[in-house]
Amino acid sequence: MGKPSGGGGATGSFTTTATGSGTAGIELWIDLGVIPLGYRYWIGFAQFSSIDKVLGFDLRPNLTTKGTGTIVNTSLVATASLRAGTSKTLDLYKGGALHTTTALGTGVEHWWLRLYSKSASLGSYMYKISYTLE
Amino acid sequence: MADVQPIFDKVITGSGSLATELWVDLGAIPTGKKIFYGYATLVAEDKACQFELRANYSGKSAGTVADTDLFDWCSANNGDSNDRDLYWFGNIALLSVVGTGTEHWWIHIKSKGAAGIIDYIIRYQEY
Repeated sequence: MGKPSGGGGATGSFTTTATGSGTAGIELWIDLGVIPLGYRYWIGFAQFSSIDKVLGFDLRPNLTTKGTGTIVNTSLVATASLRAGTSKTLDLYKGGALHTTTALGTGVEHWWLRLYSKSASLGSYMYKISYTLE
Repeated sequence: MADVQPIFDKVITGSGSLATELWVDLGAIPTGKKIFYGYATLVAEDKACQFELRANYSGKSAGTVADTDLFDWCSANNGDSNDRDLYWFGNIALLSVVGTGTEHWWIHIKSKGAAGIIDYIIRYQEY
């Protein structure tokens, strides 16, 4: 089981981050990029902030051989709903008890962050996702 | 990183809508197995809801309070979600009854007022 080493010279397990910010209305699909061919992304932690309105956050990689950001072409691997002015950090690793991964990349699949809201008015969000390639 | 050996290797997701009460049938507990609860994320998209994780008593199959055992519960406010750690690094073992082909496991959701939408993710293993 992969675990970070402790003490001096500590090494993190999830060494790559995806960060972003913007505004969202009723629905927004953020393309986090293509999953590299022959690899999958292993997702450790995700931090979401909803600055000024209620927002739902879904982390959704494509199903195998699919490439579009739609509910039917993706699977849900993490979700959170945030009230205005709040943030949440999701632990998707749990010290090795969980193995949260995307599909294996065939060159087609992307991974996505879907934001949704009941309100069409634009609200600000921020996110940071820590992950590694597997 | 070396390959991990996750403890909770199964996940079930879904959504639903309710006014005052909803029983979400998560399926039959596999024969000869227990459901070992790991983690749950429960979302109340647009109104306050209370979520209960329940499984049938042995020999029962209905989604009712009388026929199910309560394993965990939480409330989520309007537009909020709640993450539940049901394992606590091995300090807790929440296990359903052994399936005989009859028993199901459930999410029981309660609320007041108008219709609302809920979502869920539960990570578990068949033990």
